[in-house]
Amino acid sequence: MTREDVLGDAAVVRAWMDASNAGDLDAMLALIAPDFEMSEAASLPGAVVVSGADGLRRYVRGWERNWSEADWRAEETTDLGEGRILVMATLALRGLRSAIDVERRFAYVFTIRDGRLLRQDGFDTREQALAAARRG
Amino acid sequence: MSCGRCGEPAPDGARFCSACGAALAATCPSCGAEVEAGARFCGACGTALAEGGMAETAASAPATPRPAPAEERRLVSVLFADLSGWTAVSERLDPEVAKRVSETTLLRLGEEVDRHGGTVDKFAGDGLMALFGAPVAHEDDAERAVRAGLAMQAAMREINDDLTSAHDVSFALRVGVNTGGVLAGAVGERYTVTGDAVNTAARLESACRPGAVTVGARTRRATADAFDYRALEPLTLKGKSEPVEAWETTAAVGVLPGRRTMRAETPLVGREAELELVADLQVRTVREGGAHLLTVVGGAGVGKSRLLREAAALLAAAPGGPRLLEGRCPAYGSGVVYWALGEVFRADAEIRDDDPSDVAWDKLCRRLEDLLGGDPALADRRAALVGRLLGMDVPDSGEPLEADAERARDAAFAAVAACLEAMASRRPLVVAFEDVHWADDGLLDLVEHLARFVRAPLLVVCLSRDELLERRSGWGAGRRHGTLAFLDPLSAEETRTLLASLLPEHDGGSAAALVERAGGNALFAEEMARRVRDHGEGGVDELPDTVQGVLAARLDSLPPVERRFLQHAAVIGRTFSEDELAPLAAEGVDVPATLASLREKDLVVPDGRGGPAAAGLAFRHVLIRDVAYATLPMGVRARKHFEVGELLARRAGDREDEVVALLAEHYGRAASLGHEAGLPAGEVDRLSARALRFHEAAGDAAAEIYANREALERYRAALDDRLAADAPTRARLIEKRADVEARVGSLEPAIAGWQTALEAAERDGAPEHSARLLRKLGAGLGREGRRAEAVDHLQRGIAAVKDAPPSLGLVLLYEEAALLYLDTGDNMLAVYAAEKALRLTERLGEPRAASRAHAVFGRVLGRMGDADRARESLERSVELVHGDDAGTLAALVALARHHESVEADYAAAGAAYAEALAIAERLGGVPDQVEILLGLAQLAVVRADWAEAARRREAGERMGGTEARSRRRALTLGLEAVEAWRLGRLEESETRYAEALDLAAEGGWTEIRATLLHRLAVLRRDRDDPAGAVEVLGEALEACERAGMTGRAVQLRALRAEVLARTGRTGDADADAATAVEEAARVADPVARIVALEASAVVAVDATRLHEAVEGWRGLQRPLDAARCELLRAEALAGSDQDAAGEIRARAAEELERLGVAHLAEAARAADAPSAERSPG
Repeated sequence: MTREDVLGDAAVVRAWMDASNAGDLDAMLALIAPDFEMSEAASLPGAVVVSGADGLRRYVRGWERNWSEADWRAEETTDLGEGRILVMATLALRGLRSAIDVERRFAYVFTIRDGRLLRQDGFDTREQALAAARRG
Repeated sequence: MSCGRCGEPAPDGARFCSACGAALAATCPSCGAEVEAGARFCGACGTALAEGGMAETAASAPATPRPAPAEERRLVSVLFADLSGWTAVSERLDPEVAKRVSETTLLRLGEEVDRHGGTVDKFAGDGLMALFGAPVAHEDDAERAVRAGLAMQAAMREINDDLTSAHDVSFALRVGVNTGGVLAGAVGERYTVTGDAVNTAARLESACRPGAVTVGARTRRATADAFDYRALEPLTLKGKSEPVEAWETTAAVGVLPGRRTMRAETPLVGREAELELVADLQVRTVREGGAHLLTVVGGAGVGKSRLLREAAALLAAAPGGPRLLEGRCPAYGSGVVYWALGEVFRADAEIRDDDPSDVAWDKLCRRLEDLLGGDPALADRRAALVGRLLGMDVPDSGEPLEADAERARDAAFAAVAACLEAMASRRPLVVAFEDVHWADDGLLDLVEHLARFVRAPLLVVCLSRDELLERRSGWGAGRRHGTLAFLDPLSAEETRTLLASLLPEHDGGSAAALVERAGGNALFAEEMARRVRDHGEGGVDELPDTVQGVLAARLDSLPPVERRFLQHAAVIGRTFSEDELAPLAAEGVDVPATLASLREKDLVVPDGRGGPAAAGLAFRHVLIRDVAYATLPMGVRARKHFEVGELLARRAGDREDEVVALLAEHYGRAASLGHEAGLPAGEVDRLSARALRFHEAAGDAAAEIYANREALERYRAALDDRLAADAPTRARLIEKRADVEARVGSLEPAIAGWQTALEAAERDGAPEHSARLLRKLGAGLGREGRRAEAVDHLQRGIAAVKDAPPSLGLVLLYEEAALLYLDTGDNMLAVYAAEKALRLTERLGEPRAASRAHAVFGRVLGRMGDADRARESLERSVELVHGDDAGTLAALVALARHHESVEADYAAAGAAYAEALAIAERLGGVPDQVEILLGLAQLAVVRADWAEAARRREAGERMGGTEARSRRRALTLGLEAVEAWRLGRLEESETRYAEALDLAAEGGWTEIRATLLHRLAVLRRDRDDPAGAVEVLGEALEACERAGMTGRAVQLRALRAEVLARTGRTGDADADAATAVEEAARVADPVARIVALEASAVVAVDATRLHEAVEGWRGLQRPLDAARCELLRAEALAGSDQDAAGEIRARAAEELERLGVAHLAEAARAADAPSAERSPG
């Protein structure tokens, strides 16, 4: 794996997080692989697994029905090799109905293939994320 | 000549019937004179004789044997007697002689059975078996049996004298007696009894020492007061797996049978009016110089004898009080009709039981000479008349006996009257006869004669049961010199007073049950209290044999149709209606007439309590009902319960719901008894199906109105394996039972139940049902502090239904998850879940369902210090569930916590808790009640109301909802730690905090943990351990910041600033104080604001701002904090105004003393003592 590849993968992740924060579904769709899959951190009540572009569309629409504002801030990015990027990020949300601002730190493992996002897996802790990445 | 009992022809000269062993002799039982066949009175003494020349003995008069029902369960005493040495004797005698010897001996022994009111069940070889209590019960059957055994031994000695002289042989006799429940009824054409009690009696007899009587435990218990017993080594008996306790007796304690031991320790209760009556009537006899007959009538055990003893003591204590002579009518065994009168005369003439007959006669003559004076010949004649009446051995005077029996009797009565008149003329006299219902007609006639003809101050007191009036309806009433007084049962209050003296250590629970069961009967109350004292609370529901004996005898004295009536009514219950007796009418019973008779006998009374199915009638005494019920065989009971259930169901029609508990009771008993009785399988299945259906329905009905214990009992009954519920029904019942168990705080069994039900639901492929169970499991596990498992279950539940159409079940799952995360301090996940729940309720058009989501928002906002929005959310939460008790309860508790911890509005918090507590009490939810009580205790701590805090905390602990690992346990430990701190037991306080913190950490309860750490820091500061205080404050701050608990974080930081300032770390202290002030300005938390002000003032040594802080604490009504802050102010002033500082410190110390925190007061008074820090509020 070349240095360019790593930067490229990280850039995909950054672009993905930016598009998410902007609520730009088209940009998000442009970044994913056709067989894209996303799993939320298991601690999230009703954590979901999203598959493909349609799944992503439904997910984003649902998200908007619960949260009026969202801010996803990457705080630490680690290259795990083989197209995998570990990101520690804080997710800040404002409830659509409660208008309460809350935030929490999560760990994410992104899997990039051919410059496209193949997987996003959320975890509560860095350890859980690394363990999952090791399992493949 | 033929036998009066069985009709068997008997040869002339025979003394006993060869068929049944009954005595055939035609002699007067009173004086022993031979009487003519068919005579109505004895020519020697005037005793009334029964048909056939036999005396109407007291034993047969009150309880004439009646045909017994085909089958009954009865409590009996079984006697086995066996001739030891028979084999050797039979070898030595010709077979014909041997048979005659055996027959004569056994018949003679059988006579003793008869004399004591028992029945010879059978003669077998060289022994016999006898029954006491079947077919007719007496109240003292066990005692009768043992007395019969002793009498047999005495008879055996006489028989042996004859046998030795006639045949040079003799026997030893072994007797075994055992008391227990049996089934009585016909076997073939013979009435007999079966049961373990019979076998044990036979074995006891086998093991008996020749010449003695060996009894079992129950016999011994029932007769312990009547015989001298020697404990034997427990006997290993054939056919018995365990050794059997046995006792041996060779002698009775007293002469007369049946006398109950007087227990002097029992106070007389509720008989003041009757005592006064006795005293008044006695005074009247003196005033009028004549006799008066007072008859006191009341049921067995109601307190007649006790009244007499008290009256005697009262009269004896009065100046010039009367002399009292007493006689008692024995139920059986004396063989003397005028026994009671004999006791009176023997006492008066000082004749002892062991006086030889010539001495006794001499004493009587001398006494009568003294009394009557005048003509010695007349005195002798009167002595002869009286002596014969009393069965004394009167020497032949040579004077011919009165030929006319009635005239002889009149002469004897006149002699007795003259004697008593003479006694009463010397000193006013009271003659009391007890148990007059057992008196022979002759004695009754004599008593009436005395009342009419004695012309001296004589009060005759007769104590009797109602049976006397059944025999003589005009007794004692309607005459100028007669008074009839009925002794009513004690009132409930009087019974309570009596029981309180007998069981001073027992609580109201068992006392209430005893009051109910005793039904105002002093004897029953005493006996049952004694049972409870000896056997613990479990004895409340068990009927002592003594009581059962009294009641069984009363039942057996009734005509068969009335017994049957009562047995049927007993199956219905304590109360019943005439409608429910319809099956009896169908069997040909004249229900109205029988009912009228039973009401006349006061066994059945009108019942005013009513109720859908039980209006109208009731057993006068619940124990009569119990005994009547107990006599029915199980199979009969089973069918009758089913019959009653069917009748009730038919009558209820479409209003079955109203009587569902009653139906469950009847069908449940039917099924249970049907199983035990071994009814045919098909029939049992039918009973079980009904029982199952109605147990569940009754459980549902009870659960709906929060009658939790009742619901639990019903579900448990439905789950009885014998009812054979199918798998789905079983799973459903298990879930329902678990729901109620959780409600009453039994979380462990609830979780196990839900788990079982979940496995069934998953097997059935029912996702919604699985999700419901997963939610319950998640909630339960969360309450137990098993956080990871709780999260897992809730997530599984959500996953099971989140892709299905929106449902309230999913709303509840999200809400449960939100509450769990709220407790663990994860605001983000809590809000995340609550938002989802709220969104779903919008989609479902069910805004009311979102109450808990709003409560979650309110609590999160409160933590963040946004008090106004928090309150709005919480109030909205309360509004949404208006009319829903369980929802309102949860919402009110959340609101109360907010008022307390965010707004410091303790009055509002108390009001919300109080409202919630009232609901929780109504719903019977133990965990909720405990949490609220602990919340109220915490409020009391803030007010420094320690007594109230302890009362609430202990009330919570008593409710049993503080299991070892629960959240409530952590709260309780925290409160205990505060109490220890207050009392200056600082080491103990630290230990409690450590235990509480362990639990809080394990359960992940962030708010509780932060509070505990905060208080622990205060404690360590007071223990002069600032480093330790700073350490735990750091931990607490970290937890608060992670959970977004802004207000609490300000308080912690301020406290740390003060601790650091005291240790000289002024830089760190300044930084903390400044941050605290800054953050306090951002949150609407009054406590945070004052505490930040206080900290900044301490750091700056600013007495003026500290005064502001003191006022702030006072404004919040936190007196302890105000006093503590005053100490800080004194410290700040010390450098500039020593006098003012001293004055303030003294006042603060006084206040701390008043508030009950002596160790802080003490520290304040010490001139150089470090001042205290904020109290643990």
